[in-house]
Amino acid sequence: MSSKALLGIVAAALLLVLPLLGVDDYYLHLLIMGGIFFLLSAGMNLLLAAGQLNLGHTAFFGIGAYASGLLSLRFDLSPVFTLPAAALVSGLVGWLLGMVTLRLRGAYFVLVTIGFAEVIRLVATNWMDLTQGPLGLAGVPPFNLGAERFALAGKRDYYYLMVLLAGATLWVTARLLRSRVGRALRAVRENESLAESSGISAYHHTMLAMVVSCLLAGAAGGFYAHYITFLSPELFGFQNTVTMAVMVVAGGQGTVLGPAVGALVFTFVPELLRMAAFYRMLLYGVILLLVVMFMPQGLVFYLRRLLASGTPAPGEPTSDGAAFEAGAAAPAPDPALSLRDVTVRFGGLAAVEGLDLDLARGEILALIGPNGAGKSTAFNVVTGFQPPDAGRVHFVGADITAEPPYRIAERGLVRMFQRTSLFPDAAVLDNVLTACHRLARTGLLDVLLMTRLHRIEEQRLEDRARAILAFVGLSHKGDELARSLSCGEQRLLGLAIALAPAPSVLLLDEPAAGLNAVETGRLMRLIEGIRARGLSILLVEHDMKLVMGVCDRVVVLNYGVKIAEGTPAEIQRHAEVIRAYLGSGDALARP
Amino acid sequence: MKIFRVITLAALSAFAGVLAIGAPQAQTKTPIKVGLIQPLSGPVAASGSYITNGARIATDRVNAKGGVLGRPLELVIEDNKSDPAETRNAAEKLIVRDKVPVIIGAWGSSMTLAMMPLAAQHGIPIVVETSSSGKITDPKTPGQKVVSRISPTSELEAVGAGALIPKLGMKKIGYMAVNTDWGRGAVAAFGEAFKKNGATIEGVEYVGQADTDFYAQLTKFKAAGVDSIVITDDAPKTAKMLQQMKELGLNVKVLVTGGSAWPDSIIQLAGPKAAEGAMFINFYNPYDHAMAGDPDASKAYVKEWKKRNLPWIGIVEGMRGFDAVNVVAKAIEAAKEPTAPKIMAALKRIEMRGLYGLIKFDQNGQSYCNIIVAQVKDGKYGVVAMTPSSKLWEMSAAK
Amino acid sequence: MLAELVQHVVNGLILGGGYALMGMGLTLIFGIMRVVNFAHGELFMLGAFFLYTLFSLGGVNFFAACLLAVAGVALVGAIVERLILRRLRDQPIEIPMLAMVALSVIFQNAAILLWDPSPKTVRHPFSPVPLTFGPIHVVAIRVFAGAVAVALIVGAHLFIQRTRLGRAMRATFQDTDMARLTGVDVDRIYMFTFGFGAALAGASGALLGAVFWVYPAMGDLAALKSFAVVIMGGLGNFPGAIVGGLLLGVAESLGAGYISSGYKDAIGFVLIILLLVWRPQGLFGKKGLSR
Repeated sequence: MSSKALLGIVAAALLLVLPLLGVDDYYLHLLIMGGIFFLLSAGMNLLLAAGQLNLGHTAFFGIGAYASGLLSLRFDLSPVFTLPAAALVSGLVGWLLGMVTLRLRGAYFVLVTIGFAEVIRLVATNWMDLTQGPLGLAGVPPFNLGAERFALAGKRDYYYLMVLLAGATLWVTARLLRSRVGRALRAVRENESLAESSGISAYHHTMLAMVVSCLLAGAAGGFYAHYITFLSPELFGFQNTVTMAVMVVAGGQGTVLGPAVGALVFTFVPELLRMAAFYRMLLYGVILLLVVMFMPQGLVFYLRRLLASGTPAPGEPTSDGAAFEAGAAAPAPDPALSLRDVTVRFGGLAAVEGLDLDLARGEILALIGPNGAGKSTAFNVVTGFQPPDAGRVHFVGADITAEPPYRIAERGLVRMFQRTSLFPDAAVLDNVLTACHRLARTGLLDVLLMTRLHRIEEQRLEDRARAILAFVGLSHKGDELARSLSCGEQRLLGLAIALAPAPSVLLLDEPAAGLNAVETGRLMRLIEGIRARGLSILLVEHDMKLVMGVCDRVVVLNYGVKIAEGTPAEIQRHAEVIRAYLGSGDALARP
Repeated sequence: MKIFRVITLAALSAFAGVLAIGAPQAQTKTPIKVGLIQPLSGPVAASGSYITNGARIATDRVNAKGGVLGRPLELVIEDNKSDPAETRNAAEKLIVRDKVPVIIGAWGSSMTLAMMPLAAQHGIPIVVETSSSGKITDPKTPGQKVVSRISPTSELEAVGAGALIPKLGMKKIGYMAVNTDWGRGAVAAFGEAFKKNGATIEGVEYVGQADTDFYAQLTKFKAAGVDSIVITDDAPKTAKMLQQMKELGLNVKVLVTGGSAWPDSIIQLAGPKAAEGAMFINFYNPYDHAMAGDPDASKAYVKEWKKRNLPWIGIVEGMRGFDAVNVVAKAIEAAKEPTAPKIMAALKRIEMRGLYGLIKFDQNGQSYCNIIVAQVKDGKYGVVAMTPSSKLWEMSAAK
Repeated sequence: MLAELVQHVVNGLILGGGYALMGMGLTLIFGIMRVVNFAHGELFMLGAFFLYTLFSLGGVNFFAACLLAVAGVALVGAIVERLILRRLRDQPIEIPMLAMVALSVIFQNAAILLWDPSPKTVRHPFSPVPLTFGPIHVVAIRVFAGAVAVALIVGAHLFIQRTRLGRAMRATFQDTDMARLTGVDVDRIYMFTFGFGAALAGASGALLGAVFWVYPAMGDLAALKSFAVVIMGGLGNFPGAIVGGLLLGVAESLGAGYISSGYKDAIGFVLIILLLVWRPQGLFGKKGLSR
């Protein structure tokens, strides 16, 4: 058994027997409060993994608390029903808020959530009939298991209930963060366009994280209501959210244990500082500042480093890595991709005008033209990043015009970006593994319950990722961070990421840019190898050696208009093409 | 920078170690611990600090006279950061770790309410020194049976000032109250009293705890043609309201309820011109010791407050802490041993004189106090009328 | 009826001027440096306390004390940048944010210890007798504060747009490496910018502290309003901050005057949420500047 698992079992055992060891009520209380904040921080952490910082999180805590409190007070319902109901109420409100606000990003999302919590606080303070406002709700019934005679009595009972809730939270967040859901969330945070291109819907995944985090917050609120038995609008105060944010970030955001460590440390530290009397909060601020400045990755990260002994063993591949499923297995209608009369205008300027283009199955087609000819714009239209002002795009017979990028990727049309686009802070293997997202078939329930089906699928995806890395020649770099690769290697990784979702059509945007002759040659062989596996390829390139050497046909754009189409040899002799490239005579060097 | 990481981790581990050993407690057998929970940080830290200082003055005075049962009193002071959940944490610590037999606190009504169930569970009596919500002494509220409150509710205030209301000549009233349990409770109680005396309330405006600008509400009142404004709020906000009234050209009668704002504080914060004529419902007059239930204590209190250079504007709030400690000391004396059940029983039976007036608790744990209507006359402190606490008992019984 | 409406609007403009003042420093620090400055309210508070100490306790001339208070907060800001933020420059946005949270706790509680939590008034030299324009009343100190706000905004805007130092600032925050290559001392620019933003916060704290009163927790509300103003006006946009502030002030004033006093703060936030859902870049921000 690994040392990590052993440590986990010891910790769990310790938690379970703690009350029996004579730990006094004060510390049990702190552990319970720490548990409540753990549920809150774990939720915030989950959403932050997707790159969204919800600084209104305490609103969902308060909503859960009041929901459970009011339901049990007004309707005489047992808390064993009202607590889950409260979680659902919070989750619902989170879903509604997400629908309105998740389109916002970064700083704006942060500020809207702050505003939302303030509005809720004011509603709770002023809606006297519902919440009794600042007078508060007293006499919330203590938690019971269905009837009053099964009420929880001492601290110990609440402690075990909290251990149950915390354990469930730990399980759920661990399952989500360590599976393809976590990979998808991190992908959205690190590089949203690339995630979308790999078939990951940013909106749906952030929404999932938001709803789960609000469910957890609502449960925490419900527990609080029946434990403290008194509710007042201070629950919605911004100070609470700041505390949670401290726990998440100083504990170690993005990790599973970070919120737990953060919640425990930052519940106990201010309490233990009570002995410092009037310097208490000042010292707390100083400690927090020190932790942030010298351990910015969070406590968990540094604790792991301290405890880690040597490098972790590299994962063993279970297949030979030579074969990986390409996308175009079934016969599909011809052409694989077609554009009809596509037009894009920016202001008065037509970037692309009336473009007709067909990509046959198994073909390698190049789209060339001087800079500003509209090639990247055409790509953006095809992959859903730019809706056209006119014209339609068809992919294996289906009309995909203006569909969102992740849907287009899900269909099997994937793009590799012009400038290096990766998930920089993830390992090379994880980059490819993340991009395999669309191939997963098991559902969320399988992820949460860690069924055998899911585990088999995860292994299969990992094998596939390794196979693709072997194909592009990056096997030896599997565990390194993507940001640490050389330019050429990063380009290969970009190609691997594009191959990961098993596309049937691959769009390559200047794949040879910045590569030297040797690297370009390698790339050419890779492209041929990709076609050999049944894919159709559309590429934009300036490197004529690659175009002439690898492509079946060439389409030439100039000022947004197609001026020529034919085999590489025909294009080389085409008068208008030569004129368009006037001044770049070396671009037409013979292969 | 690795060394700093190690230091920070070491500091955190030290706290963990304290967890194992336990926070150092001067467990010498001698002092009797009394818990005090107040907001010492956050937006109402000023009030918390006044009350804490009043409590300290009383504690030092008791100890100078030989303490209680031959042992010195020791105040164990905890900050609740103006928050109910923090109050609960503080109460847990005081009850479980410090094993205090009695707690004074916790200033705000929601803060006090948050710790009442816990105190009741452990049988620890609470002496409430400031909170004004009727809920606290309502038998239906969990934990009410351990509460002994020396501060009045807004209902009591209204009854005590009731005789005065017709004389004030307030007909069309605009009410500005802070949006807390205190403000809302006062509006309910005084609203009733005004209506009974034939006045109309043209409008009630609730202001936020941290608000500083009241032009909108005052403009509304001006347009409605009010002839008087009633305010329930702390001293700084009340002072601003009076100033802004003058700035807007709103020159009407002013009555301030609640006991925190008093002539001197408003004179200092708003200036004598803006404060002129305003009336205040207070529970203590530091200039006339005869009004207090215990004139000697009052003299000693004011003298010590000045000696310690404490802010003069806080003296009418500090007396809450002063009285609370004296009540506790008296109760422990009467109980003959510093245990919670005995102290609780002693509190129920207690009858003494404090700065609040005659202190004894009715069947709900509520005591009655002096109701003083003060006024700024010629830029200085003046008294309009007073209902002594004994009279208040009679009036309430008659209701 | 009309007089009441006009007075409400005038109140709102004056209130909004105060908000715009509060928001200005943050529009620089948050809008340009992208630091989520949760210590902004405390920089505001320090300006007020420095003024109080110099003027009310130290007897220094009011206007000189204002200037010195501003300089003091600028210095604090520069030190904070140099010692704390510089280390955290390459970290994701949550880390400097958390450092600022820690600083706000430190500053607020240090203020409680150094001065006490008792509220203090600053007896400024302006007359409390209102200036009247028909039925409309306005008081001199607030007009002064409003005038200073306008002057600061215009000055800051011109500074950033027209001077060499201002250009260097804009360059640094748009593309640090390029700025370095063109010879800009990037470290000094960072320090200066944060100090400048802090100075603006301190100026508004000193002025508004004189208008209202001075106490350690006074920054809490100021911080919230400042973020609202910055969002409304667009990150890094000075004229936007003043329009945002005025709009917020008038909306709150009218809301409190005609709808409900208790919910007036909510009105501001609901407006902001609606605004951002309709126009994610704020009133004046440029599209695409979301992160």
